[in-house]
Amino acid sequence: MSETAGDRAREGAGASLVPPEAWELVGQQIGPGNPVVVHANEVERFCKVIGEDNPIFFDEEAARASVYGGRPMPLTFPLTRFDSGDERSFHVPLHATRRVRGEDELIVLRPIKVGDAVRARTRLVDIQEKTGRSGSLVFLKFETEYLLDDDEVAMIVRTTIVRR
Amino acid sequence: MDWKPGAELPPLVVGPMTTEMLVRWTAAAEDYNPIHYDQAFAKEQALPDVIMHGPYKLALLCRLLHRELGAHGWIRRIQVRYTGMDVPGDVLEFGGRVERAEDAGGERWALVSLYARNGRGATTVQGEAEVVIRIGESG
Repeated sequence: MSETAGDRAREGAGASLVPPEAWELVGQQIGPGNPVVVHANEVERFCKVIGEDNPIFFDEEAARASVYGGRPMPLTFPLTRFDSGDERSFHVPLHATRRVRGEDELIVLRPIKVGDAVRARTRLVDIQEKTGRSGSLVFLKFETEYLLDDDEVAMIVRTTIVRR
Repeated sequence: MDWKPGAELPPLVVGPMTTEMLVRWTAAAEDYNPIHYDQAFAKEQALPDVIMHGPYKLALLCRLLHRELGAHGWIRRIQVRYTGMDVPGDVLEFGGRVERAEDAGGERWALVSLYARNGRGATTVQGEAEVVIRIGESG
Protein backbone atom coordinates (compact mmCIF):
# COMPACT_ATOMS: atom_id res chain seq x y z
CA MET A 1 0.00 0.00 0.00
CA SER A 2 1.43 3.34 -1.00
CA GLU A 3 1.93 6.19 1.44
CA THR A 4 -0.98 8.61 1.53
CA ALA A 5 -1.14 12.26 2.47
CA GLY A 6 -2.89 11.13 5.64
CA ASP A 7 0.02 8.88 6.56
CA ARG A 8 2.44 11.71 6.01
CA ALA A 9 0.30 14.06 8.09
CA ARG A 10 0.25 11.56 10.98
CA GLU A 11 3.97 11.08 10.63
CA GLY A 12 4.36 14.88 10.69
CA ALA A 13 2.18 15.09 13.77
CA GLY A 14 4.48 12.58 15.46
CA ALA A 15 7.34 14.98 14.87
CA SER A 16 5.41 17.99 16.15
CA LEU A 17 7.43 21.02 17.16
CA VAL A 18 4.76 21.84 19.74
CA PRO A 19 4.92 19.87 23.00
CA PRO A 20 1.77 19.45 25.14
CA GLU A 21 2.94 22.07 27.65
CA ALA A 22 2.98 24.66 24.84
CA TRP A 23 -0.64 23.99 23.83
CA GLU A 24 -1.63 24.52 27.46
CA LEU A 25 -0.41 28.11 27.26
CA VAL A 26 -3.00 29.10 24.66
CA GLY A 27 -5.29 31.68 26.22
CA GLN A 28 -2.84 32.56 28.97
CA GLN A 29 -1.69 36.07 29.68
CA ILE A 30 1.50 37.58 31.07
CA GLY A 31 1.94 41.06 32.53
CA PRO A 32 1.40 43.89 32.81
CA GLY A 33 5.17 44.06 33.15
CA ASN A 34 7.58 46.85 34.03
CA PRO A 35 6.72 50.28 32.65
CA VAL A 36 8.65 51.90 29.84
CA VAL A 37 8.68 55.68 29.91
CA VAL A 38 8.52 57.26 26.46
CA HIS A 39 11.52 59.59 26.78
CA ALA A 40 11.84 62.46 24.32
CA ASN A 41 15.51 61.75 23.56
CA GLU A 42 14.83 58.09 22.77
CA VAL A 43 11.95 59.04 20.49
CA GLU A 44 14.20 61.54 18.71
CA ARG A 45 16.94 58.94 18.25
CA PHE A 46 14.38 56.42 17.00
CA CYS A 47 12.99 58.95 14.50
CA LYS A 48 16.48 59.83 13.25
CA VAL A 49 17.26 56.16 12.62
CA ILE A 50 14.19 55.75 10.41
CA GLY A 51 14.61 59.16 8.76
CA GLU A 52 11.33 60.41 10.23
CA ASP A 53 11.30 64.20 10.00
CA ASN A 54 7.68 65.13 10.64
CA PRO A 55 7.88 68.06 13.13
CA ILE A 56 5.14 66.51 15.30
CA PHE A 57 7.83 64.14 16.64
CA PHE A 58 10.46 66.81 17.34
CA ASP A 59 8.84 70.20 17.83
CA GLU A 60 6.66 70.66 20.91
CA GLU A 61 4.83 73.66 19.42
CA ALA A 62 4.12 71.96 16.10
CA ALA A 63 2.93 68.91 18.02
CA ARG A 64 0.60 70.93 20.22
CA ALA A 65 -0.99 72.49 17.12
CA SER A 66 -1.41 69.05 15.49
CA VAL A 67 -4.27 66.57 15.81
CA TYR A 68 -2.25 64.92 18.59
CA GLY A 69 -2.07 67.97 20.85
CA GLY A 70 1.42 66.89 21.95
CA ARG A 71 4.42 64.89 20.74
CA PRO A 72 3.22 61.41 19.79
CA MET A 73 5.17 58.21 20.27
CA PRO A 74 6.03 56.56 16.92
CA LEU A 75 3.73 53.54 16.70
CA THR A 76 6.54 51.04 16.25
CA PHE A 77 8.60 52.48 19.12
CA PRO A 78 7.41 50.02 21.82
CA LEU A 79 7.24 46.81 19.77
CA THR A 80 10.57 45.32 20.79
CA ARG A 81 11.47 47.47 23.77
CA PHE A 82 9.93 45.86 26.85
CA ASP A 83 11.80 43.59 29.27
CA SER A 84 8.57 42.06 30.57
CA GLY A 85 4.92 41.74 29.66
CA ASP A 86 5.39 41.74 25.90
CA GLU A 87 5.38 39.04 23.24
CA ARG A 88 9.16 38.52 23.50
CA SER A 89 8.82 37.87 27.23
CA PHE A 90 6.18 35.18 26.64
CA HIS A 91 8.19 31.96 26.66
CA VAL A 92 6.50 29.22 24.65
CA PRO A 93 8.52 25.96 24.85
CA LEU A 94 8.88 24.63 21.29
CA HIS A 95 11.22 22.20 19.53
CA ALA A 96 12.31 25.06 17.29
CA THR A 97 15.43 27.17 16.97
CA ARG A 98 14.43 29.76 14.37
CA ARG A 99 12.18 32.72 14.83
CA VAL A 100 10.89 35.37 12.42
CA ARG A 101 8.05 37.84 12.57
CA GLY A 102 5.21 37.00 10.20
CA GLU A 103 2.58 39.69 10.72
CA ASP A 104 1.84 42.76 12.78
CA GLU A 105 -1.36 44.68 13.30
CA LEU A 106 -1.34 47.87 15.39
CA ILE A 107 -4.63 49.34 16.54
CA VAL A 108 -4.50 52.77 18.12
CA LEU A 109 -7.22 53.52 20.65
CA ARG A 110 -5.59 56.62 22.11
CA PRO A 111 -2.28 58.07 20.90
CA ILE A 112 0.58 57.48 23.35
CA LYS A 113 2.72 60.58 23.88
CA VAL A 114 6.17 61.55 25.04
CA GLY A 115 6.27 61.42 28.82
CA ASP A 116 3.73 58.60 29.11
CA ALA A 117 4.61 55.49 31.12
CA VAL A 118 3.46 52.40 29.27
CA ARG A 119 3.08 48.81 30.42
CA ALA A 120 2.48 45.77 28.26
CA ARG A 121 0.43 42.65 28.82
CA THR A 122 0.28 39.81 26.34
CA ARG A 123 -2.02 36.90 25.66
CA LEU A 124 -1.09 33.90 23.56
CA VAL A 125 -4.16 33.77 21.34
CA ASP A 126 -3.42 30.73 19.23
CA ILE A 127 -0.83 28.22 18.10
CA GLN A 128 -1.02 26.71 14.61
CA GLU A 129 1.34 24.13 13.22
CA LYS A 130 1.55 23.69 9.48
CA THR A 131 3.67 21.26 7.52
CA GLY A 132 5.16 22.50 4.30
CA ARG A 133 7.89 21.34 1.94
CA SER A 134 10.64 22.59 4.21
CA GLY A 135 9.15 20.92 7.31
CA SER A 136 6.91 22.12 10.10
CA LEU A 137 6.22 25.75 10.84
CA VAL A 138 4.63 26.96 14.04
CA PHE A 139 2.60 30.17 14.01
CA LEU A 140 2.27 31.83 17.40
CA LYS A 141 -0.43 34.50 17.55
CA PHE A 142 -0.04 37.04 20.32
CA GLU A 143 -2.11 40.01 21.35
CA THR A 144 -0.30 42.68 23.34
CA GLU A 145 -2.14 45.52 25.01
CA TYR A 146 -0.22 48.68 25.90
CA LEU A 147 -1.63 50.36 28.99
CA LEU A 148 -1.23 53.87 30.30
CA ASP A 149 -1.07 54.86 33.99
CA ASP A 150 -4.83 54.81 34.38
CA ASP A 151 -4.91 51.20 33.08
CA GLU A 152 -6.55 52.40 29.90
CA VAL A 153 -5.56 50.34 26.85
CA ALA A 154 -4.00 52.81 24.42
CA MET A 155 -2.80 50.42 21.72
CA ILE A 156 -3.34 46.79 20.76
CA VAL A 157 -0.71 44.90 18.76
CA ARG A 158 -1.49 41.54 17.18
CA THR A 159 1.68 39.74 16.17
CA THR A 160 2.30 36.45 14.45
CA ILE A 161 5.68 34.89 15.19
CA VAL A 162 6.83 32.03 12.96
CA ARG A 163 9.04 29.36 14.54
CA ARG A 164 10.73 26.37 13.01
CA MET B 1 -2.26 64.77 -0.95
CA ASP B 2 -5.92 64.17 -1.61
CA TRP B 3 -7.18 61.21 0.40
CA LYS B 4 -9.56 60.00 -2.31
CA PRO B 5 -9.97 56.48 -3.68
CA GLY B 6 -7.34 55.76 -6.30
CA ALA B 7 -4.87 58.38 -5.02
CA GLU B 8 -1.33 56.98 -4.83
CA LEU B 9 1.09 57.91 -2.08
CA PRO B 10 4.32 59.12 -3.72
CA PRO B 11 6.74 56.27 -2.96
CA LEU B 12 9.41 56.54 -0.29
CA VAL B 13 12.73 55.04 -1.42
CA VAL B 14 15.21 53.90 1.23
CA GLY B 15 18.61 52.34 0.64
CA PRO B 16 20.73 50.70 -0.45
CA MET B 17 20.36 49.10 2.96
CA THR B 18 23.57 48.54 4.92
CA THR B 19 24.43 46.39 7.91
CA GLU B 20 25.12 49.65 9.74
CA MET B 21 21.50 50.73 9.19
CA LEU B 22 20.31 47.42 10.63
CA VAL B 23 22.59 47.82 13.65
CA ARG B 24 21.30 51.35 14.22
CA TRP B 25 17.71 50.06 14.18
CA THR B 26 18.70 47.16 16.45
CA ALA B 27 19.97 49.65 19.04
CA ALA B 28 17.25 52.28 18.66
CA ALA B 29 14.42 49.75 18.82
CA GLU B 30 16.19 47.30 21.19
CA ASP B 31 15.41 44.59 18.64
CA TYR B 32 18.23 42.16 19.39
CA ASN B 33 17.60 38.97 17.40
CA PRO B 34 21.13 38.27 15.98
CA ILE B 35 19.73 37.32 12.55
CA HIS B 36 19.66 41.10 11.98
CA TYR B 37 23.30 41.96 12.72
CA ASP B 38 25.43 38.82 13.04
CA GLN B 39 26.14 37.47 9.56
CA ALA B 40 27.72 34.20 10.75
CA PHE B 41 24.67 33.52 12.94
CA ALA B 42 22.29 34.41 10.10
CA LYS B 43 24.05 32.01 7.72
CA GLU B 44 23.93 29.21 10.31
CA GLN B 45 20.15 29.74 10.27
CA ALA B 46 20.19 29.19 6.48
CA LEU B 47 19.52 32.86 5.77
CA PRO B 48 21.23 34.51 2.80
CA ASP B 49 22.69 37.32 4.96
CA VAL B 50 21.61 39.43 7.90
CA ILE B 51 18.00 40.35 7.22
CA MET B 52 16.10 43.56 7.75
CA HIS B 53 13.76 43.66 10.77
CA GLY B 54 10.05 43.45 10.01
CA PRO B 55 9.19 46.30 12.42
CA TYR B 56 11.85 48.47 10.72
CA LYS B 57 9.92 48.13 7.46
CA LEU B 58 6.68 48.76 9.35
CA ALA B 59 8.25 51.92 10.81
CA LEU B 60 9.17 53.10 7.31
CA LEU B 61 5.58 52.55 6.13
CA CYS B 62 4.46 54.66 9.11
CA ARG B 63 6.98 57.32 8.03
CA LEU B 64 5.46 57.27 4.52
CA LEU B 65 1.98 57.80 5.98
CA HIS B 66 3.13 60.53 8.40
CA ARG B 67 4.80 62.38 5.53
CA GLU B 68 1.40 62.65 3.84
CA LEU B 69 -0.67 63.12 7.01
CA GLY B 70 1.49 66.01 8.21
CA ALA B 71 0.01 67.52 11.37
CA HIS B 72 -3.60 66.91 10.34
CA GLY B 73 -4.09 63.19 10.49
CA TRP B 74 -3.22 60.08 12.43
CA ILE B 75 -2.86 56.36 11.87
CA ARG B 76 -5.72 54.50 13.51
CA ARG B 77 -4.69 51.00 12.42
CA ILE B 78 -1.88 49.50 10.38
CA GLN B 79 -1.59 45.84 9.49
CA VAL B 80 1.26 44.18 7.61
CA ARG B 81 2.42 40.75 6.50
CA TYR B 82 6.15 40.27 6.05
CA THR B 83 6.21 38.34 2.79
CA GLY B 84 9.92 38.34 2.02
CA MET B 85 13.40 39.11 3.22
CA ASP B 86 15.47 42.21 2.53
CA VAL B 87 19.23 42.16 2.92
CA PRO B 88 22.08 44.70 2.79
CA GLY B 89 22.38 46.08 -0.72
CA ASP B 90 18.62 46.12 -1.30
CA VAL B 91 16.94 49.38 -2.22
CA LEU B 92 13.42 49.47 -0.84
CA GLU B 93 10.40 51.28 -2.18
CA PHE B 94 7.48 51.89 0.18
CA GLY B 95 4.18 52.92 -1.33
CA GLY B 96 0.44 52.80 -1.08
CA ARG B 97 -2.90 53.70 -2.56
CA VAL B 98 -6.15 54.99 -1.11
CA GLU B 99 -8.73 52.24 -1.53
CA ARG B 100 -11.75 53.73 0.25
CA ALA B 101 -12.66 56.96 1.98
CA GLU B 102 -15.61 58.20 4.01
CA ASP B 103 -16.38 61.54 5.63
CA ALA B 104 -18.11 61.84 8.97
CA GLY B 105 -18.12 64.34 11.82
CA GLY B 106 -15.56 66.71 10.28
CA GLU B 107 -13.10 63.91 9.63
CA ARG B 108 -12.17 61.80 6.67
CA TRP B 109 -11.47 58.12 7.20
CA ALA B 110 -9.38 56.41 4.53
CA LEU B 111 -8.28 52.85 3.94
CA VAL B 112 -4.86 52.69 2.30
CA SER B 113 -3.22 49.60 0.81
CA LEU B 114 0.53 49.42 1.46
CA TYR B 115 3.56 47.63 0.11
CA ALA B 116 7.32 47.44 0.34
CA ARG B 117 9.24 46.22 -2.68
CA ASN B 118 12.95 45.71 -3.16
CA GLY B 119 15.14 46.24 -6.20
CA ARG B 120 15.15 42.51 -6.91
CA GLY B 121 11.44 42.77 -7.67
CA ALA B 122 10.22 41.06 -4.49
CA THR B 123 7.28 42.45 -2.56
CA THR B 124 8.45 41.97 1.01
CA VAL B 125 5.64 43.67 2.90
CA GLN B 126 1.94 43.78 2.07
CA GLY B 127 -0.55 45.56 4.24
CA GLU B 128 -3.12 48.22 4.81
CA ALA B 129 -3.78 51.15 7.10
CA GLU B 130 -6.73 53.15 8.29
CA VAL B 131 -6.00 56.84 8.68
CA VAL B 132 -8.14 59.71 9.96
CA ILE B 133 -7.67 63.22 8.62
CA ARG B 134 -9.26 66.46 9.75
CA ILE B 135 -11.30 67.66 6.78
CA GLY B 136 -10.15 70.91 5.20
CA GLU B 137 -6.65 70.63 6.62
CA SER B 138 -5.05 67.83 4.64
CA GLY B 139 -2.56 68.53 1.92
